[in-house]
Amino acid sequence: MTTPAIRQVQTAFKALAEAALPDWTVAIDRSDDEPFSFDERPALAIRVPSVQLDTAPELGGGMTRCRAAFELDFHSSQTSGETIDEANQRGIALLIAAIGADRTLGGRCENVEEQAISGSELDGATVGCAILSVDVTFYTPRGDLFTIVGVGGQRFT
Amino acid sequence: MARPTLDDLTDRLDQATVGSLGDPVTYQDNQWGPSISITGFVDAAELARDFGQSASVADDLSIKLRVSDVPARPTRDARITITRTGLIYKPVEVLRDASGRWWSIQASRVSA
Repeated sequence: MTTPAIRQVQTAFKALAEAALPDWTVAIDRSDDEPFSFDERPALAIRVPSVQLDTAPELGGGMTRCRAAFELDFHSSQTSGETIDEANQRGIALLIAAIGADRTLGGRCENVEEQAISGSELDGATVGCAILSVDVTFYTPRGDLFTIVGVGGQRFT
Repeated sequence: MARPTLDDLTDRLDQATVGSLGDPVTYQDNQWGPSISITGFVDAAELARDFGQSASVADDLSIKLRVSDVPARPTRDARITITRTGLIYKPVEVLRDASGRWWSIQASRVSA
């Protein structure tokens, strides 16, 4: 079964995060119906709430530029109250360093760029959450969201 | 012999009640200090803390310890081990109850 392009990018991002954060649980498709347990933390949930699609006229109209808004939820077991606790700060800094070392996710993407960090608005007596927003830009053939056209025209399926 | 006061009787009642119905815990003023074995009333609930699109299980643990067992107000450096589960907690919020004879403690779990 073919893998959607967005999922391919998510999987590559997950691998990047797991390498940068070996002591963390990294999850995709982890909803709030399945909370992270104490033993799973520190933990990172990778979410893609939206993807903007537009044709790339500069490429002859045969390609779609995909701009995925990644939201990365960092969960730690430190006390947090509308702030970004140190454990999450460290995790975020490590992941940003890994992103900086490979902004193409192994040649799949045009760019991966961190945008903002926000602390949870909820008080957590024993758990803290901070969200890192990252924009990921990649290309697919127009009408084909199963194939990534990466750096140098390399195709990923 | 002095006659017992109501305070004396209440304290003895507290001692008998927690001794019969309470949970055994181990208390340390700090993680390097000596530990004492006492009993307290433990409510070891958890709750799912929802941060919008993802969630984590958080402790909602509260413990009541007698001031006569722990005269000094517990600080964040203190460690409380619930004997039944073996889990270790540190005080996050410590308040004296209305009677003045109990510490009401909200606690968070720490790694062993």
